[in-house]
This record gives sequence, C-alpha cells and structure tokens, in this order.
Amino acid sequence: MARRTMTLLGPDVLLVAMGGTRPNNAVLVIECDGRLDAARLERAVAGLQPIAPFMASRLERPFPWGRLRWAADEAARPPVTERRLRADETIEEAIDALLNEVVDPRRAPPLRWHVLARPDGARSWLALAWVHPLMDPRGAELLVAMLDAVDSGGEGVAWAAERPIVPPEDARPWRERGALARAAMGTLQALARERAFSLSTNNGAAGRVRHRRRLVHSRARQLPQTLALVGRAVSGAAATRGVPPAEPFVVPISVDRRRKGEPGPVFGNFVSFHFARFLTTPADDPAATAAALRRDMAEAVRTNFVEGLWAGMNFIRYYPPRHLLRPLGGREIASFHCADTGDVRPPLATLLGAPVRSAYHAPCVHPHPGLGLFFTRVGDLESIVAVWVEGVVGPDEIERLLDGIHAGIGAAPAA
Amino acid sequence: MPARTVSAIADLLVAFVNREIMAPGHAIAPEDRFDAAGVDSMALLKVLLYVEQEFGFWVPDDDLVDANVASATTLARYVAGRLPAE
Repeated sequence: MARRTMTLLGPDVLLVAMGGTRPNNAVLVIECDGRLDAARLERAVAGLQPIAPFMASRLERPFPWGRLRWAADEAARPPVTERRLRADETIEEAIDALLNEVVDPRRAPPLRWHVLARPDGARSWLALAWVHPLMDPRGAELLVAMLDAVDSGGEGVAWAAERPIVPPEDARPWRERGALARAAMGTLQALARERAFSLSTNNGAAGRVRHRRRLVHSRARQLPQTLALVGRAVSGAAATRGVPPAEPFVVPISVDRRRKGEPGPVFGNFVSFHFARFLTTPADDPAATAAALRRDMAEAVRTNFVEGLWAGMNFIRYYPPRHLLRPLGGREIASFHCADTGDVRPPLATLLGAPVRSAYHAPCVHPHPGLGLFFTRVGDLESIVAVWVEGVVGPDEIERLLDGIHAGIGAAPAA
Repeated sequence: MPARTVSAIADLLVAFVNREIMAPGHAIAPEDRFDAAGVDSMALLKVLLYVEQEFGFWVPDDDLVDANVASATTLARYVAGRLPAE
C-alpha cells in the first residue's frame, strides 16, 4: 500500500510554530455510568487502524526545506491504556496529566486512547488525547463515531471506510484566494491597531495547562448569547485587576468549516476563526452584548472574513508564519478563546459497554491568550470547560468565572 | 414582485440551505429542524443574511426565538408575516 501523507495546512503550521516544544495536547472526554469495556474498545481500535492510519502517524519534514507533514504509520497502532484512579485522585487531575503529557509526534503515535475508572467502577471515562494539530475537536468526535461504526461491523465498516479522513485541497484559483486573504488580513490589522486587554498580558513564564469542568442542565443557546455570558464573567475578572472599563476584549471564536449533515474530514484542522470584539462596560449587559456580537458575526459572514482568514492562513503553506504575524506588529489581540466545541450525540453504549452520561472537550490553549472557555452538549447536559495556562489565572478565578457563566445560564447543576 | 406564499418562501430557504450549508446528499426538508440538521449559529446567520438579501429586511434580535427560526417553514411563516401585503 502506498505511504499516505497529509501536508499540514496553514493554521496547523502556525500552531506548531507557536507551540514550539511545549506539550500541546487536546482531550475529548466521554463520561460513562458504570464500567467501560476496554477490551472491546481495543479490538475496535485495531479494526479502525487500517481505515484511519493517521491515528498512528508521525510528524516529519521530508527534506530540510520540505513542508511539514503527517505520514501515516500503518504498521503501528495507537495505544489503549486502562487504569483506575487512585483513591485520592480526581478525574480532573487525570485529564490534566494527559493535557500535559509530552509526546514527541516525530517518534510516537500522536493519538492515545485512555480508559479511566473510579476505584469502585461506578463511573468511567474514555479520554481520547492527541497532539494538536493532528485534528480539531470535531475530528475527534468523528473518529469516535467511526470507531463505533467499525465495532458494529458489516455496513458500519463500509460506512467508516467511505468517509474522507483528510481535508481536500482548496481548488479555488490562486487569485480568488489571494483576494479573500488580503481582505481578511486588513480586518486583522485593524483589530491589532488598538491594544486589547488580555488576562495573559505580562505572563512571561508559561506553566502547566489545567482545566475545570462544570456540568449543568441547560437548553440550547445561540453562540452570541453564550459569548455574552462569558464576556460578563471575564470582564468581572478584569475589573478585579483594575483594568479600565474602556479596554476592549478581542475573542477568537472557532468556526467549523465542515459542511453540515455528514461527518466530513477527520484528520487535519478544519477550523477557521471569527474575532469578536467588545468593551468591558457593555459586557455588563449580556443582552446588549449578544446583540452587538450577532451584528459583528453577521458582518463577518457578509464580508467573507471567516472564509478569507481561512484562505489567508493557508498561504502559510507557501510563506513562513512570521509573514502572517508581522503585519500585526507583535500585538496580542486575543483576550480569551471561546467556542461551542460540540454537540455530541454518541450512540456509543454498545461500543463502550456502558451508557454515555456526558462528554466534553478540553482543547489546547496557548500561553497567549492562555485561557479558553468551551461548551459541549450531550442531550440537555452541558459541560462548561475552562482550560488555562497556570499563571494566567488562578484556580479561584476560574471558579468565579464558572460561577458567573453558570449563574448567567440560569441552569441547575447536574449531579 | 410575485406573491410570496409561506410554501414558496420555505422552498427558497430550503434551496439556499441545501446549496450553501448542507453537505451534498444531506438535504433538509422544510419541516426539518435546523438545529437537528446541524445548522449552527454561524450557519443560521448565513440564512438570515439570505433573508435580508432576498426579502429586504434584517431579522431583529428580539424575533430570533425558536418559534421563528426552528425550521425553514417557521422562518418562512415569519418572513411572510413581515412582507407588505400585495
């Protein structure tokens, strides 16, 4: 079989360049009532490997001047590990360890399946951890869906095998992509002209990545409403640091570019960004903030900004990342990161051997902005996840942030 | 301008969503819920921009409630109610 490779797209190259040698993992956690069937999971992973060989790929540069790429290692298999939590260990601590695990993707599989269980076996977790940017959060959900299909056998295997697993080339003419990219770059430069407030400002030494999850009963919301609640909570944190109320927030919001209704590509980064911008003072009024953000997002769609940013980032395939960052003057334009990362509907009880209770993403965050707030839903249970770099914010601030968002949603906590 | 019935408006909205937002082979029908089909916040904004372009008005925030934007049919009913009488 021919060796399969996947060239990194622009955003991925940029992430690798920004991440350097620091751990840069992301984790999808699926929480189950009862004991997970690790042996069954391992058999399904073995069956999926020939279909999705990038699970065990290596990051390589074929020549000193070549483009970075993932090369599928079809002979290898991503590890499946199983262990019980210690009596004094929380699941948050176990996931934090996965977020910070050092995996060299040039030498070891960039993706790992972990089965974790409480000592009494009453609750267990499937944690899918990978070196970002092998795939984005939605890609992880799709990979689990493919695993479920392989486990079901027969038509399921055929279904999984027919899915595209890497992004297609952008077939639009160079001229069209260039025009889109120039327009988007102009918007980014306008954003960078005025310095924005960030909790990570002056945070020199990057620490460990940590996360906290709050599970609530909730009903569906539009992203502007969610972001408005997050904005109010973060502006509260800003106020305690004495930040003037006129300091702007600039927030990158992940936008999944896959077409709706079918899985779409699994490996690679299919996320573009929209940069929402608002001031601390209006953030005190979530309804007004949500309205302003919706207008802002509509303008981004109207002007093709999201599409243009995607096209622009892909030019990094041809130019070094500094060519993108230089026009921004080294300014720190992101205050924090926010995304509705998923609406997981996994019929996974057979594969996992236990009913799914909830699921959540803990995506990687970089030292700047050093804080991300992410929302994942399973049915009417919503996980609010904060991921942060130690030193940017403290655990007490994170609890206050989660309290503020939780109060804004007005939802009952889930047991 | 020809008379726009709820059904005709819903057909226009469905054609737009299936052309611009849904994956090939995953077309939605007028009664299908947008959220169940995977139409997220950003995709819904594309639909609202299409409404603005096609029917000449922007749906105000106060009207972005489930009863109006749950599906192509509910949105068509709302749009028809906003259009001037022939």
